Amino acid sequence: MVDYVLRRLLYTIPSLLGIVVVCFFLTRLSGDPTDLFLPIDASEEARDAFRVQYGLDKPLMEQFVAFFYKALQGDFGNSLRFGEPAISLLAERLGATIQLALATLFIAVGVGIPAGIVSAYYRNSLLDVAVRSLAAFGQAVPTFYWGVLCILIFSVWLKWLPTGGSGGLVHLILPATTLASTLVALLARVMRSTMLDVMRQDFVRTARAKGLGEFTVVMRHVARNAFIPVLTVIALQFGVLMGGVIVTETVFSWPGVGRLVIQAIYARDYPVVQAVVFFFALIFVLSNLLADILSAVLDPRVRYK
Amino acid sequence: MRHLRSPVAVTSLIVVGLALLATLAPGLLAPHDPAEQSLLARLAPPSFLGGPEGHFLGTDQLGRDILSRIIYGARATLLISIAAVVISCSIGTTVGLVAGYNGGRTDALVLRLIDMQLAFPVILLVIAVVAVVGSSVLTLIVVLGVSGWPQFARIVRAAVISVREMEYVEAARAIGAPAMRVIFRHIGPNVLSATIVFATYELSRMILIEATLSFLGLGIQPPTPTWGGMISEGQKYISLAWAASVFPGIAIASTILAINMIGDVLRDALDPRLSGEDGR
Amino acid sequence: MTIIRRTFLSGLMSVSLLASQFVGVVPASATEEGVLSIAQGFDPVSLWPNYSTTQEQINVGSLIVEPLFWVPPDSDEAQPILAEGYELVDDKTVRISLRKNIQFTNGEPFNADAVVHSFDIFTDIKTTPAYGRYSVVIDRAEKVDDHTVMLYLNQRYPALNLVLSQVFIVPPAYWQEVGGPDGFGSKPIGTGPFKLADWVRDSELVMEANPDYWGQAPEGIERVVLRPIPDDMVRASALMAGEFDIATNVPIAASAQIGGQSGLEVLSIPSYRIFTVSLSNLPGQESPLHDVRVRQAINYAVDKEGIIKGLFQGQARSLNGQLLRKEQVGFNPDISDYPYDPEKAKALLAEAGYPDGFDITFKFPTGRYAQDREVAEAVAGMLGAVGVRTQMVSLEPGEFLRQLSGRELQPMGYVGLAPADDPDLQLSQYRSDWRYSYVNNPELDTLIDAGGSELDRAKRQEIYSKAMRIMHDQAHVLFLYQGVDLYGVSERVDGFAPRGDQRWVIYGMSLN
Repeated sequence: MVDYVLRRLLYTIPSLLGIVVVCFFLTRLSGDPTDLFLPIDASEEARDAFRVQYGLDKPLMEQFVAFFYKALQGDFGNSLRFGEPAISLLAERLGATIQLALATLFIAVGVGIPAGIVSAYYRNSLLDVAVRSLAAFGQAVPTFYWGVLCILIFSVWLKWLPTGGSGGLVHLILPATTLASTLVALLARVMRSTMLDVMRQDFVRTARAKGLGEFTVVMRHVARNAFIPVLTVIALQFGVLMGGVIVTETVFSWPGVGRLVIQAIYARDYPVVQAVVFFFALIFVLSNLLADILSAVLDPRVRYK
Repeated sequence: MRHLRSPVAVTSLIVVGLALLATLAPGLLAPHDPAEQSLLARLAPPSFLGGPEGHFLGTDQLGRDILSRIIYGARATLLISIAAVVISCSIGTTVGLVAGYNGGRTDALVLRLIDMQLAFPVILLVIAVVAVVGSSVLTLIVVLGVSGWPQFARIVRAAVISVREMEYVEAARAIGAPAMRVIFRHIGPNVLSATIVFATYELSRMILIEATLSFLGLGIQPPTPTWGGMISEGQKYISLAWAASVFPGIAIASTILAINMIGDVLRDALDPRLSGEDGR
Repeated sequence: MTIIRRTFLSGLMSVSLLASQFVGVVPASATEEGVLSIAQGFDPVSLWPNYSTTQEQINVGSLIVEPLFWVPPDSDEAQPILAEGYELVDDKTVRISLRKNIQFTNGEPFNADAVVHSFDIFTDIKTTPAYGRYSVVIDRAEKVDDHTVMLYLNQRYPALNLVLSQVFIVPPAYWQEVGGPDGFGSKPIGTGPFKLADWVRDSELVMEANPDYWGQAPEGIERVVLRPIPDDMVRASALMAGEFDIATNVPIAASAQIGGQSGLEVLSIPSYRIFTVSLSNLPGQESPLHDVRVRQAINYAVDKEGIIKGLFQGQARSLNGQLLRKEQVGFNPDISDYPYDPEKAKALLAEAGYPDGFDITFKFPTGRYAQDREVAEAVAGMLGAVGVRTQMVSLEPGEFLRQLSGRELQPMGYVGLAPADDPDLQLSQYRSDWRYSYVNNPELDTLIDAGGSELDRAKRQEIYSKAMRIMHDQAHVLFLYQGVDLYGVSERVDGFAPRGDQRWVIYGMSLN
């Protein structure tokens, strides 16, 4: 087991290095920060001074070598906008995003999984059609639209919840619900379809034949087995969630990493973009590893190869 | 094909058929030129709610006919999402098959690539590409198509590995039968059902990504309308004129719902184990 | 079977019950006594006002760090803040006298040393690159005595007030201690009416009144709280939900609602931002636009009034066929907008040899200016009606700026430039060798040069109104409109008076 985890961790290194390299060149392709950091009517002299100060005047390969050498030591450089280390800017905003992500996951699993189970169990009933329609609806409405709608209804008309910002649990409700909407829909759908697959399998018939209660059969045998692929799906959704996080944090002025990175992308603040992308990649890789380990624990048939 | 005769399936087929018709021949359905503006008649409510005659679903922020724009918008919207899914599905399936079947070094390499691609935020990829080559239907198809392959590859690869070492495949190999064919026959239904479910999900995700890109100012070039673009533009006027964003939203939702339903029906139809019983 | 059904459903219901318990008990946060709360588009990066020329940052930073002078809206006279006044010793020498008995909040004295030090920072292009355009005219500043500073210029410079009002005075010892701009930007110390209390980036910035403030402190404001809300519509909604006293840049779509809500009003400030479509006639950028008749035709083809009334509901102003505003030196009262006349446009196109029109690329940003994409689509629609078929290219704001400053925004590009309030700063952007000029007209260049070193107001008026006439007749740009900035303001705020460049000061403001 330990061996397996170690090996998997080792495997992530080339992927992460690859991401660092790709990200470096992609950000460089996207434009020169000088145009964005200085006023449009800045003098040529000021522009040159800016480029020299941040090493943007050097040949690309030289910049890359310097960057890569430092990145290997965990230093992604200083933000062009803030003058602070990109990593510490990331750390500052991490708490807010983790809060949001956990709340989202809580809602998504809490609503999506039961909905999927119900939908599968009462397959083709009115309830099933209702769940599936709602799921399709949830998937079909863009995150930003949900967000704006929620604000209009719950903040402006009903005045129940704040329009955004961070604070207590109150501030978390709207953004988390918004971000969860697509995930709920996806989980419900995946849960439904894997449930259906599992229900057809022999061991379920056996369990039924043994005279076990219907509830026990469904929960212990079917749902539990169906949960394994769902776990993988959740872990895989990280990349997709990233896009949602950016939009949600923007709409609800949530001071998290998503807003940091979209501002950095727009401003061509290379070091910050690189740090955030690397960090998200790391999280992604680790959460997938965790999902694999968990499914191994839940399903003894998975072998550590 | 009795699956296709249920009312849900029929409705879904009609919706998708309409969307496809709009994609192929929007001129047949649309009452107006989608680009025809009237700054004096902007943000009008639907005609059945007291709006001006001739604009059944009202007008948008430039006084253009919303119904006509939804009809013309089907083309770019569906083209982007379907083409992107076809691309990612074919790349993913091929890569997954090769990796799963060959194993070893190929497999390891593919796994690393998958991790890399999945962990890389699509949005950054799109901004970088859009910044360099500009935002067009083709750009979006290529970027979204290329970025979506890993999930398909994972599904196929896992299925191939699960049967690769089974006895009858070994046996088939031993008697000289092309193992790939055996594998394909065996995993076919399984992979197909997972892939179809996933592809329909991807289809809706692509439509949403296009909408989100419009929201972030990276949508495709006007005057080509897209549903996502219409929502993101109309969203700014939601408290003045809800029609401009709600109707394109309904277009997206009903199309996605219909595609999903057809996906499910197809899945059931293709899966021989499901016919004849209701799955309980 | 039935048992399970019930179990499932009750499970679902308990989830929704749980959710409903969170909702409903929580009132939205309301504005507090003595606290001025402001929502703006983004969080400042630095609270050192000379860090950038972005007004949202300067507005915040200048509550703490003060300048020598301030140029109020609708005036080009410099009002003294930390200075008592200035006089011209000769064309290139300025004597500035400073207020006495002022201290920075860390106890350092405000004196000539601090001012000279701040000028040194201001003119150091490495530290203050954003102000290179202004600092280039300054040679050096010297201390005469504790409360007098002599400023030596490199050239005769008409827009001196603009330069003097942009220099913010920082305490020298503290500046060294925190290591310059980066350290100072996150923990500023100044002479101003407020002190930084707490700053959580991208979330909330809190300032407390400076009890020892030297001047007239704003009445009733004990704290200022700023929160960044990036989405325009959400910012307006937050104001309507009662979370703020002031929301900047509210969208026109929300202005009627805000105005209709009791306790709120909409402040509409004519902006310095002038919107045009550049029509390149630069050598090497060949297109039909090199023919003046084509450029004129384009001006006739676009219904500017329609855009102002339709898209902006009147919240924009006509340009009177020129780049300078009515209030500016050089405004030419004899010029008016090209009337909307599609027939004339078609005739001019035919005369220029394009009876069937032509195809042309039209670039514009999405998300940089208010309703930018809509305006671009409207313009393209009108041009299409006379046969100028545009290939529209929407640009992400960052890419837009790159193309603009790289002279790639051609042959047609929708831009809104907002230079500081002086005709020289406005017009030199159209000099043929300017980095992002798309105009090539030697006659205009001569006038721009003449105006740039002329100190006499009447002569400047003459020079610039001639330049306006040339630009109009030659139709070097498609004249669109002057923008308007909209602020949503609560009734309890008095004296909030932003300038057309979105700069505002707390002096004179109060909270009921």
